[in-house]
Amino acid sequence: MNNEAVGVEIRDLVKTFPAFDDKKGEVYAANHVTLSVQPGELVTLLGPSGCGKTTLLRMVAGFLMPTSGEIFIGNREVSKIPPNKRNVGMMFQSYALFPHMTVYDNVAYGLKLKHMGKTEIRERVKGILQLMQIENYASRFPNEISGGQQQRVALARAVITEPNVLLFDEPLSNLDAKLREYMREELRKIQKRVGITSLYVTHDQSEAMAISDKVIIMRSGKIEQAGTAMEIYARPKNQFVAGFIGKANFVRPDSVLSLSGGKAEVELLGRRMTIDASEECRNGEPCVVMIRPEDIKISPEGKFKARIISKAYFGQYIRHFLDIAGQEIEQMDFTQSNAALQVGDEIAVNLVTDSLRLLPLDDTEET
Amino acid sequence: MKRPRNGIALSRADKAFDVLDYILLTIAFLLVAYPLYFVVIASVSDPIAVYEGRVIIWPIKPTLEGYARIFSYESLFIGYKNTLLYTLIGTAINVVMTITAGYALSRKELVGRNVMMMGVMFTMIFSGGMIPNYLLVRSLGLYNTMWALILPGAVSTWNLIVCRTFFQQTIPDELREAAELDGCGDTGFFLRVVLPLSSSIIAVMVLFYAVSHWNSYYNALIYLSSTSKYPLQLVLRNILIVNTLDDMVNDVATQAAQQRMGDLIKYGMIIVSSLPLLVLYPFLQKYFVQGVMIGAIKG
Repeated sequence: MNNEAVGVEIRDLVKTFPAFDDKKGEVYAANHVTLSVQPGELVTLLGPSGCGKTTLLRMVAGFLMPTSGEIFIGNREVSKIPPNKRNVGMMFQSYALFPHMTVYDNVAYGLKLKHMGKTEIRERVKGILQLMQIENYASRFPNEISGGQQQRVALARAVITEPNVLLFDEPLSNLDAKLREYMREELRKIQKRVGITSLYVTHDQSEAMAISDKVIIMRSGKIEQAGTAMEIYARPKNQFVAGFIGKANFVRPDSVLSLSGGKAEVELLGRRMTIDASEECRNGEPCVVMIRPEDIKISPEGKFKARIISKAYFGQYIRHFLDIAGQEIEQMDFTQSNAALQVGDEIAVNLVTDSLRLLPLDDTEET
Repeated sequence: MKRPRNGIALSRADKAFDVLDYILLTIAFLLVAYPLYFVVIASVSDPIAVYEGRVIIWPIKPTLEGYARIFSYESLFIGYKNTLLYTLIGTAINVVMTITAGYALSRKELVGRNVMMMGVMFTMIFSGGMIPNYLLVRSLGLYNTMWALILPGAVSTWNLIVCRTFFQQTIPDELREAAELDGCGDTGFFLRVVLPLSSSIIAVMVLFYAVSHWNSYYNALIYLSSTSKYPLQLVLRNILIVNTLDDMVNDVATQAAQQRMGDLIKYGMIIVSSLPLLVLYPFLQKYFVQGVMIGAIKG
């Protein structure tokens, strides 16, 4: 790739659609979204169906016009220019390969439309097919190659025109679980090798965590939180984010004794403790404590008494549902040292208090 | 019948069902195929044997007299030429107009698409009628030209709906968007991507329209006055009339012979007019079925 990587900047972007049930109302697919993607970075938009992530991606591509706001690719404001003038590449969920063209012709198509010379086209296509490790399939048609190979062709087609930005619209969702895991590593490797700024849409949190420099969690057209996967997992801002990334128990504290400076003193499951608190928590407002299942440790010296309600074996870990002070709480035991425990056993557990986090209560359905 | 299906032995009920299936399908096949076969053997049999109902399985006293009589008319070849011309030009216009209109109407971003579709549907349910159509054709200066047979029916509403549905179902938006990102415009996408992927619907349209033009008879009867422009069907009709009705002949025996010859010619004409399509049909049959299915799934 010869192009120098440029960033993407989205400023106060709004996209509304007319509401179905109320003719006067509007639905916000993007609600004053502001975000930036640094040059060469891979940023993932993650959220449940209907949260507006694909709408946002399609506005960057130019397939949808924003209601208001600005989109910059590099220093150029592109929100009102057509898709083919934005210099973006896109990998679609269905790959969108032309079924009547060979792999070579699919990849070369964009270059032909740019009226590039035949020799140069041949050289560039050869190079990109080698990069994607599909040079042996150049003369095959899309229906003659596997799903993983089709995906590589789609990626080759998207990057051959040397776009400034590469957009991914759930490109792995059509693959089986094993291939998906393999291909996401491959995609990441190729993206890093090419060094192209990328915006990636998925609803799969493990995919987002595995490949992204930065993850943006969206809900109802708004950005809930942006940060690295580790930041979002360890320090979610609210209950929705905590529940969307990874598994979490949400337990109402008996009381919040103090809340200031990102710390809270709470009474939880009958014990007093100091834990981290989200900046969105307010004094006097209802809160919950996030307890990740792996942060509950079974130990004979544990401070909390618990009873095993149910137990399931998942290979890498054993999952228990525990009754602790009348609350049903999920626990994951990755050590598997307590494999002999049975349903109904009385045990003792400890909580990793450094990992607990006070979050504002979210009672919307999407949590 | 005793052979197990996929390695699973058939129950008695399954076997009975299979037997019934074969019997019903054989009857259905005979009901469809025998009339066609009868026309073929009757066209080469002695007309007296046909008249007396003795021709059932094999031709009796085979003769090509009927065909010889048919091919002795020079107008037959003019009719063939005209029909071929009307079919080729008419089908080309029909297919181009139907495919392009169907594709345009399949695109969600076409402004006023629903209103246009309603207008199109209206013409399918209500038409002006024969006399207004005739007056329109006359005032447009199409009377007694081949365009009177081609232009008024240039787009069939039903075929248009079939095409629109095909494009909606088989050309995903993502394909267009991918081409658009590469810099391909609407026309380029239609020509380079949509058309190569639409060979089946094009074949279906060619078949539908070509059969319709080939068999067209009524419009030619109304809109054409000079016999040199008559299509094959009209020419054959005239040959049949000439060979069956002759008021000047008073002799009963001659009249009977003429009647029998008329029957022989009738069977021969069915073969002459249908043979080209019968030959083509097996090759296009799968597209024909596909076309009917497209219409059946979604309108």
